[in-house]
Amino acid sequence: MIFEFVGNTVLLLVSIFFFINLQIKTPPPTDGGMSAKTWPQILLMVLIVCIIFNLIKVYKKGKSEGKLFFEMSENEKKILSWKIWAGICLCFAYPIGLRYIGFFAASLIYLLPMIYLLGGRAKKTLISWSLGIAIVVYIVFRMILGVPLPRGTGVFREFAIWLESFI
Amino acid sequence: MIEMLKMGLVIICTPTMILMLTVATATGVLFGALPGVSAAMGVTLMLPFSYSMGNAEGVAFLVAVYCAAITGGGITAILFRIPGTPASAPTVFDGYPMAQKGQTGKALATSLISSAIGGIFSAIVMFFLSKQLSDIALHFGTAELFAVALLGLSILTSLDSEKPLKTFMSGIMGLIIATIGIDSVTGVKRLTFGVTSLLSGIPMISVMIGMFALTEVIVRIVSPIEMQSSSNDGNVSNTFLSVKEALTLKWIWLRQSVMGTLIGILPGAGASIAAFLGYVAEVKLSKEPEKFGTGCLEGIAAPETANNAATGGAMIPLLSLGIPGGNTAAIIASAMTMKGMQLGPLLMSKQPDLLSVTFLSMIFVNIVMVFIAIGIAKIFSKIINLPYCGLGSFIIMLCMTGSFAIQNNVANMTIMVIAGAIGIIFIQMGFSPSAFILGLVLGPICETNLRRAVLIAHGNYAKVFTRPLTLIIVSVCVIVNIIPLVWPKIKAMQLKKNS
Repeated sequence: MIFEFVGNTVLLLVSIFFFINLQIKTPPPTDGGMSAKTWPQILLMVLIVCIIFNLIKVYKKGKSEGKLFFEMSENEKKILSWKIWAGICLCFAYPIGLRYIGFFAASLIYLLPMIYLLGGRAKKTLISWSLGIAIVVYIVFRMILGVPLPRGTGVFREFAIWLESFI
Repeated sequence: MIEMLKMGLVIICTPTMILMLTVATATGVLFGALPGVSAAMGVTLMLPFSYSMGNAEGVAFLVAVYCAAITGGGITAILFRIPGTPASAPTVFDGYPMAQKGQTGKALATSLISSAIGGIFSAIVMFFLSKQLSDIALHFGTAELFAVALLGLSILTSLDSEKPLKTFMSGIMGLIIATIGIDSVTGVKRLTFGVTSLLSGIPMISVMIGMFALTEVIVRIVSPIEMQSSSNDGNVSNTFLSVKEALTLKWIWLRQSVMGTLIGILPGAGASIAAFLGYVAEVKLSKEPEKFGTGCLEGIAAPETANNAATGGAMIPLLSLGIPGGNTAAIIASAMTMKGMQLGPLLMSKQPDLLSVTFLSMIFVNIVMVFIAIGIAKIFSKIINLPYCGLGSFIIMLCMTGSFAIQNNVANMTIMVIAGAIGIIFIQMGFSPSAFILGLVLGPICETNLRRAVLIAHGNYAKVFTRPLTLIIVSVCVIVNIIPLVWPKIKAMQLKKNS
């Protein structure tokens, strides 16, 4: 029950924050039409009401099923697993790394732990898959489609330019 | 008409043209299949190749890429849960579960055949009824477009009828996220919090890729599965659609061909809208709506027929009025103008060969792409048999690089990851990512058209909602939502009275 309760509460607080932000930052209409804040504010009001209904529903359902407030289902416990959030953090770190160390280096550093998280264990598996995937994606996007993948800075940039000289 | 067709056939039926159209089809399917590379981008990338071709040949080439790209998105939607184009997002709902059950071939066959049928139907309508349908389309103003988008939103809860409140909330959240960025009517920044990369709004495709594909892979970290190979040793083409199964889909094909063509005609409503509206319409009309989302043929046939039908529909205002209905149509319009095509009412009389070539090219592409797409799908489907540690990582890299490729912007990758994280939480809390995406897709059309309509009516809301077509469509929205609630109660009362 706590997972749903916390989730809905966070959603409620975010909705209220968005509502207030719109109120402060958006000027009123001057032309008799709808202002820029009208539509999102209507939606936010509807959402806030629905969240409150949902919270009451979650509480009543939990009470009728005899669930404890801090009880979590097996699926909810799985979602809170450190592995999932390590995977998400890696995914967040990858775009940051791309800017500084370029596509190839960032992809290799990113793929090694990701393949490990997804079940790859042997060193050969980790290295061959990381290299293989990075090369295939590079060929498809950079060489075939001409998408200018980030080069990074310094020596990584020099390496990327050297690689692109073969295209 | 016959003379016009003969003119087109003379141009199309040469070995060089057939080869070029085949290459264009294969390229279009590949572009459509790759996430982040949309139909619009595919046409843009192929534009320079058309410079060296003749007028008719160049037009046929680009139209072929456009039609094939919309189809290609369904391949990765089914195999990897990555919608290659926004128009293929609804295909994920049933296509991927079917693939997980080992029915990849059947899912792909349904997708391709449905696409072909929708595309051919709309091409025929485009050729024979352009003028008449364009006249009808001219009656659709901003209020009517708002009403069409409202119709799509009003049947949102059909996406998951067991949790109507949460599905509704998911749709509302999608609508709210669609408001982030610079307001299209007044130019005011909304909910950007000073972040420059949010000024152009939240890119739809990044959110779709994140919520569908990235969520799926990340969850597999703790719940590993192996994708089931097809029952015939992973050979995609051996588990084809049977004639009996095809016959069960005939009414869906007809309905969605008509609906997709009509939606494609409306300016601003493209293949994405058609696909979503087609899917929710079939859920609403089905006697077994609960089977949608679990891997049913109908859930694949509906959006794929509608999105390809919309390609022909989008060509109708373009060719007969010179008004492109969307981004991709605008790119094709500029290419056609470069090739000397005079888009508008005089096209049929002054350049009938170009109109005929466009029509025949669409027919050719929609037939040939079934075979080419099966070939490409066979290659992609070999990838399913790889160990998941490699497959999942490959999918994530496709998602990441695809998100980057949309606008050559690293910020889109971050948005994709955030969408993926939200998708994980959504699923656990019982919210509907499909409804969220529907809200995100329909939100801009809904809001922009409503506000324009109110502006045109000088703030008079009654004037907006009492326009004849708007009133009809809004009444349909109300009826479609009220009747399922009221009808069972009326029946129960009647039964009580009788007993």
